Amino acid sequence: MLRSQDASSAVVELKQDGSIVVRVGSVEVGAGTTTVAAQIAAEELGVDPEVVTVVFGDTETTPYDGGTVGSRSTHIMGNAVRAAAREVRDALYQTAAEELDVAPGELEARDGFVRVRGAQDRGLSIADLAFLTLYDRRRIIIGQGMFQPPTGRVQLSGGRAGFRRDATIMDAETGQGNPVAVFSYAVAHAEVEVDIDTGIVDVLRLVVATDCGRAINPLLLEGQLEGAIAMGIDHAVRENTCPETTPDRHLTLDLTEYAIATAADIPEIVTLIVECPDANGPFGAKGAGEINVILPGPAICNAIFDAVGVRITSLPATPEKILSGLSSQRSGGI
Amino acid sequence: MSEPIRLKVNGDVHLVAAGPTDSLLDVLRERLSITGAKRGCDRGECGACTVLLDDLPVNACLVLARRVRGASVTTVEGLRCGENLHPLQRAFHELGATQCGFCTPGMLLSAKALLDHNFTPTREEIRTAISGNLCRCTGYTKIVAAISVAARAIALTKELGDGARTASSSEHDRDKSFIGVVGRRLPKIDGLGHVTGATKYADDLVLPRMLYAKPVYSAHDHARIVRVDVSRARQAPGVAAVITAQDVPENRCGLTVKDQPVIADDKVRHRGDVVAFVAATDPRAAAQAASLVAVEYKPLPAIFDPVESLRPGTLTIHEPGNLVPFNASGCIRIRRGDVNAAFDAADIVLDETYRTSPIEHAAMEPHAMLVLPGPTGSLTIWTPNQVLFTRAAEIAGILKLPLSKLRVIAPPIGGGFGGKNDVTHEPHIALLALQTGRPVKYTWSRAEEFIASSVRHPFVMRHRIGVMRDGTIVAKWVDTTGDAGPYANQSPAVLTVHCIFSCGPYRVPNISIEGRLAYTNNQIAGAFRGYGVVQAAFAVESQMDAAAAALGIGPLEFRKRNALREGDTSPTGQPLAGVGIGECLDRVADALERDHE
Repeated sequence: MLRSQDASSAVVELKQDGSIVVRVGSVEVGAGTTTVAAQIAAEELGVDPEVVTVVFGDTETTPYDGGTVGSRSTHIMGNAVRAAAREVRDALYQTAAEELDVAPGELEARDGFVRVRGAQDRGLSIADLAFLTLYDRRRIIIGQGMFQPPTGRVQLSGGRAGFRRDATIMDAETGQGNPVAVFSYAVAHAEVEVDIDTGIVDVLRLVVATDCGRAINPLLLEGQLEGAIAMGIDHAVRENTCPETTPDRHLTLDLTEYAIATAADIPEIVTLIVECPDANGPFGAKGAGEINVILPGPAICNAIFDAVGVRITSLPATPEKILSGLSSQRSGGI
Repeated sequence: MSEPIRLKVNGDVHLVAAGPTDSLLDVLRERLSITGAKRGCDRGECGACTVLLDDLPVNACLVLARRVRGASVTTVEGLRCGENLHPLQRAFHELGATQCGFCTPGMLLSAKALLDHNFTPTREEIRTAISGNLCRCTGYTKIVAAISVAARAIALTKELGDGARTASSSEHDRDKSFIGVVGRRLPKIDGLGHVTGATKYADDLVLPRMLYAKPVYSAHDHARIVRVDVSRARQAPGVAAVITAQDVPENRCGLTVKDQPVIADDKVRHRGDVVAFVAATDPRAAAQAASLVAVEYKPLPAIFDPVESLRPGTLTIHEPGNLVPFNASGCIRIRRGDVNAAFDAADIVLDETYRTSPIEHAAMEPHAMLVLPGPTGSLTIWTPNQVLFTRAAEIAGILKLPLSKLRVIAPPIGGGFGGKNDVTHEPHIALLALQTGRPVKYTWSRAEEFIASSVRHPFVMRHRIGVMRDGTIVAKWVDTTGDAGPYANQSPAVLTVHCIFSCGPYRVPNISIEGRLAYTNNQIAGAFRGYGVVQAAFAVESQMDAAAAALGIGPLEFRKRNALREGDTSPTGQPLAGVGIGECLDRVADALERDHE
């Protein structure tokens, strides 16, 4: 589902007390982008995520980002945060290597300490290393990271490889090219009950499996998967901002007429997480925000066909369309 | 007009001015700066403003402030028990029941009202109790679960005393190692703000000397503008500025096709076109002045169907025609193999046309924006926009300001889904701020979300599939038309993605896909979660089931036979790795099998 949009970038700074500030130009729409940024930085630096603060969404204080859209943030911003955190970690290793008189390659960062691998008593806390780097070596510790999906890379004039600004990376006649950053996959099975007198469809249950690569945060991932299914059910059976096209066109203007689902309308949703990792994703993560919303429409309409033999070819599957399908079935049978 | 009333809010007694038509929500938010109750619709439909009025949940937007003088009100800010979170707040935070957080305060208070008299509620009782509180993010599953857990925690506390408070401690408390942070069920780092009312969304922001804006929208789906007269509006009480098309430095914008006026000048092309914009000292004065803008139109016939729009001889919405001119051909084409030969050789060929409806994002937070002018012609813009840097550049272009003069900040966003992806009224508010030298704020009504924000593209998709008796797909031909509405906006990108995904996750050796976009006088279409794939998947998967039935093969088996595998290529020839479709099919099949055992 993820599209090749331009880059994300991140700046990670180690403060004098060992706390971490992550700056990303992504925004927080509710999906948990900033939590994922904190987790990835904490993982790379071996610190408690509680010491990580995320500053986001400000063109003056955060670095460039292509947008919190297209299921791209975990994959693209996540890679940028990871790269920036690694620069900070490398700077810490440099200081620790000097203090402990070992090569940086012998060090590891975990539980808030940088230690010599295999010698747990030889180490320094990240707070001490921050102090030693800042005040003894007079160096601020800032890491930067930038990620652009490799799919956007093309031959530029002069034979140099690079990224074209217009991102037109499909052939105009055949469409051939590599336009997609990473694909996620999903499957849904829907169970419905159709009232043949009223045409009303009752969606009873969905079983859904989704492959978004590695789950950085399964709690938040489930939230995306469940929420997208609920939205997709609404699309399938209810939503239309222009319910009357003839004779008078009429737009819905409020949430009474445009009735999205309430808690009482939601069927049982079983979400299964499949983790086929992506080689380019941070820790193997793909994208998760959108994929499941595509499932309920066709799954529910196929279930309606299975139940009553009416093939819905235009969404939403309103009672009128189902009754009309049932009625032409009957007249066809005579 | 205003008279002081006595209100007890979260235990504090306030003497506060209330006009005859002020709602309790107006008083809480605008007079007392208690912003935990959210304005999601102002009509009692969404529940985001739910507060407890003497322990009963009410929509604060529907309650006249003067009618409840002397009453005791609880908002989300008053839910904590001293330093401790209420068990509901704790459960919502730890169990992922809050995403954007905009519905959370109202949801918590409806749940509290339930648990105050019933701490062993059934699932159905919970669902009923919160059915007046809409949420567009979560699908409610985790909300219902969190309320159940909180109820059990409260029941336990009542039985055992306060010592049992920690009973609901979550699994992340048990897992304090700082490696393996990736993969952990960590609660949202902004979740505590959502459950306490501390999160400040764009409409919660207030600046001294702030003005309030109001747009004038088109009265027609399609019309020529003869005259716009703002003289009476300018004279209206409280008005600080009125802008029209001639005030916009660069009045044509658009990502790929510069076809959209910031303020309509020659024509209006849908109901969401802005004709003028007013700034005044309070929202009512702004609305009053906006109603005094006189626009003379010459109505034109309107076109609402994308296929009809492209028929020769149809009235044009833009010159030279209604085919959106985003590239030389106005088409996206994906071709490989020899479809004609493959269809000739196929055992079964199915052909069907599928359609989808326009859909509103209906995020619980309406668009809201605030602009602060600086002393040197600079501007700070707070806007809940999902694509900050690109939109900042677009806004700078419209204002003809260097990007260095603009600072664009996205506060926490109360749900986006692609609906907060475009530049909307930021340039208008910025111009009003520049003209007046004062901060200007504008918050959309729910009706405006339907009229002026983008919708999911309706598509008309003709799909033809060719299959062999053994259940192999050999060819796919797709002819698809998207309804862009009156302006190209992001439609070319949506169409591109739509076409790329028009074969689904299946191996198809011979492909011919052609897609185009039509201008219509419908709402402007834009980005929406799924970005063109929702529509394509409906056609693809409906036809997959039809083909399976025609072959006499089960729909699961038919999909398994044709599912993409490691090393296959996408319809555009892109090599695929980490292909999870086979495993997803197996996992669903296994789960269904277990159910039957």
